[in-house]
Amino acid sequence: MSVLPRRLRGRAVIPVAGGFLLLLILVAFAAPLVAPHDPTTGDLMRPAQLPSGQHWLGTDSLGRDVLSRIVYGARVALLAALVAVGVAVVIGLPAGLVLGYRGGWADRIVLRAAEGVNAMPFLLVAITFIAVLGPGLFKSMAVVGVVYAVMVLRLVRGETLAAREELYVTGAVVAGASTARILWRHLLPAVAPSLIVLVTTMFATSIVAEATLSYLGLGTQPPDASWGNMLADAQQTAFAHWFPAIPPGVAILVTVLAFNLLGDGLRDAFAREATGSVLDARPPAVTEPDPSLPDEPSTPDAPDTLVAVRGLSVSFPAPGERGRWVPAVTDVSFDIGRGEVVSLVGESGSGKSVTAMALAGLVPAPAVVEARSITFDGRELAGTDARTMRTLRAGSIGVVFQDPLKALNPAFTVGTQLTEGLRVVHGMSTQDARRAAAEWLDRVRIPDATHRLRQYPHEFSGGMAQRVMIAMALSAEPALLIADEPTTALDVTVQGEILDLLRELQEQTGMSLLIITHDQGVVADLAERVLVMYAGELVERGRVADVLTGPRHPYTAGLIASVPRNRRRTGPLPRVRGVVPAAGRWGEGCRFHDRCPFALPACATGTVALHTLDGGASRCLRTGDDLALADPAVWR
Amino acid sequence: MNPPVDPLLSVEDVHVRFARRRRGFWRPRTWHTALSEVSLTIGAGQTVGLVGESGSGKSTLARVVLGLQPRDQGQVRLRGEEVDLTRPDTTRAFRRAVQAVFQDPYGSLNPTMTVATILDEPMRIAGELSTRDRQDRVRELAELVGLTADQLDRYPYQFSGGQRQRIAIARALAPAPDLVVLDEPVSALDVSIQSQVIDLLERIQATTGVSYLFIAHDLAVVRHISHRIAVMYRGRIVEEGKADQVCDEPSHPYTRLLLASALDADPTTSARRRERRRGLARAFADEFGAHT
Repeated sequence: MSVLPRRLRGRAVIPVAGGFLLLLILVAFAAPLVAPHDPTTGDLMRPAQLPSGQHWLGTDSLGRDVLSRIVYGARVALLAALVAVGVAVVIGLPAGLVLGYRGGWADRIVLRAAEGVNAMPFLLVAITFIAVLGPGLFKSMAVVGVVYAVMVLRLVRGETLAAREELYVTGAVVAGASTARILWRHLLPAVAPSLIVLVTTMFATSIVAEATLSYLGLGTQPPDASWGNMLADAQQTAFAHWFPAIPPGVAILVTVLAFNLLGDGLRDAFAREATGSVLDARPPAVTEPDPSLPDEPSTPDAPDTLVAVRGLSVSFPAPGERGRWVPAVTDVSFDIGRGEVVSLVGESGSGKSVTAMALAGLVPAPAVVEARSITFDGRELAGTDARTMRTLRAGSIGVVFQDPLKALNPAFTVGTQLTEGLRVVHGMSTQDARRAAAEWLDRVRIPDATHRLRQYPHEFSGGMAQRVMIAMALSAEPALLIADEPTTALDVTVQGEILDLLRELQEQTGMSLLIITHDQGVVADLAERVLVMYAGELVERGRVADVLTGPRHPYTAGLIASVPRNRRRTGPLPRVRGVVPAAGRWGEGCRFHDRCPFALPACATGTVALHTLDGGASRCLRTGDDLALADPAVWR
Repeated sequence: MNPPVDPLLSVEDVHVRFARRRRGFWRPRTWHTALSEVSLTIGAGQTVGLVGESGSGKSTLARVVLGLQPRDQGQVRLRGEEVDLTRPDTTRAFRRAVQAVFQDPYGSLNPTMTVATILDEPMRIAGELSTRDRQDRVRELAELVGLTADQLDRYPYQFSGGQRQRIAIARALAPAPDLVVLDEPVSALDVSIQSQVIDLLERIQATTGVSYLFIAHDLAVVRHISHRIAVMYRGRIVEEGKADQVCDEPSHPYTRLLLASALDADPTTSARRRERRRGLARAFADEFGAHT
């Protein structure tokens, strides 16, 4: 568990609660040395005294020193908890692992039995067993342990059931690993975090269980000291002497609290970074114009500009490092004309999706989105508030995501989801909205629309679900549709149909379309202009016909050369050497220089500007040099 | 179709069906046929490409080959001998001989193990090498797939998708298998990384003589690495033959549609190809029914 220390850092509750418990364990261990008096023999002449210099916590009704009995009671409490939790883990963990991994009829029978045990009141079960076995600390806590084993079993079984579906478990089976090895090396580490949390809180409940059973006379037998039977003793004389009940009560309270706090702290530490991210309409903040950056792109083919982005930058907080920010997108500028189809291409980590989502105000906090200016239909978005951004998004920007079956809510019918926007945003009546929804399903060519509206997302194939997503995005009649990898999750034979549909709807409605893809084929099929991104910046833009047949940036050329083609193979496959650098680790100079076959020493220093060319631009120092970019031999 | 000279693994007339969820207690059980009359032979040192859309049964076939999927009918033979996974001795030999690489390089490596432990595990299980020999082999494998020695002590989350896929390939090769089943090994990778991985696989095949069953949904990718290609549609192998032959002269309408559906990065030809694809899709729908 090498990840443990990093996760536990910065959480005060764990050292405080853990420190207290460690101290308690030490005291319990060294009880004969720490306790000022013998816990079982008292001075009958001095019963029920209040705290004094000789007896710090007074004496009980038999004149025994309460502090000493608390110290010895801690020993009993911890030992009791250890027995109960030990029994629970020894029985519950292996059984849970095996049942979760193997499943079958044994799993079903044991699970039903476990449910039966859980349904019975815990004390009733314990008392029944103790009645048979006879009272005593170890016997009673062993019974508690068996009841707890059922809880451990259920947790471990559930976690195992989830973990066994992991590919690395299948991999281990294929490698011939024995069941024991799979359970021990692959499933146990996956189960461990939640088990540790459960065990910690179980320590707390077993201390309470011990106190309860001893209080009832079923656990620790007098004259031995236990917090539970101390409470029972104190109760008998409670009306005459109230004080002896206080120390064992406080001891139980504080110890249980410490275990619970430790458990909560561990649970928070193991929960993966699920906190702090807020998704709402997020307008970009304004950055000051930089006079040293001259170029402002223009759309040569579409004079009527819908979207103009200038100097867009997005940064995310570095995971695990407070105060450090990782840039994902730096200084991106582009235009989208009215009715124009623009595609944004790049590989994973290029920042293409972040760029588009920033435009729609969909980058979650705490990421920082900044721009010199972003105008949409003449309105300035940089520096506006979330409300303006939300209104704009509801009416003017539609978004279609990669995986339609994940983007649809499985709990609601397609009709409910499709009509929601129409009713809420456009204020239609339920009937009108249903009629409009059915019309939209017709328009995206889903047969039998009225029937389909009543169905749930799982009843749709990937291609059909993507049509629903498109209908949903277009029903608000947006001026801009952002399609983020709309065909990547679909089968090749379905891909073409979805692209056809997008093209057709774009022509009908005259909307602008920003299509994000890693696939040059999609670009060629659908787009008029293309923006190529690499390592968080725009490296080339231009008309699709120009860029795909005559790329100007070496990265674009390498990407096009790498596309697998259905031709008879001659020699090695073209590729781009090296790997895409991680976000923010871009180094000096051109971000592509260490993978570029045309790089010069000068490429490794300074920053490279976007060179404007006729109909496009390229961020390359060697723009204008006569390079054999398209020669496949360069990329082998 | 001439069978390979030296068959390594063959699948013979395999049928697999899954029970559908019952609609009611008294209703009869219905079945979904995942594989039907599937036969396939993989020659020693050969790569067989397997293509088909999602739900066509290609992953089920991969699981059959890996011995993870019970069959209702049919056999799997390794070097002519029937694979019987109820017997410990044949299981042991089979598990060493057949390895796998999966599509998702993020889920296929145990996040709590270092790269060295991940690479070591299959050899440890095979139990044929001493600790020292295994350490040497781990370093050798790392070098083969382009990892540096200091990367061996790192955990999977410290690597990119392409690097993880290299680790997964190295792990599959660790026990010196005869066959590696590659289930969509490059589908989740960037185009610029895809060729690197394919090239790596080919170099390994040239030096070790390992066979591959290479599964993908993209015919162009499969064509470049495969000697033979099998096309699956609705649980059946509808076409099988030499890679160039299947791609240049497809005989089954589904293969033709699949080829026509691949997009071309050349905008000048994409409009013509679009027309061709629509025509084939219509013809296909007339013959087999719409498949979306």
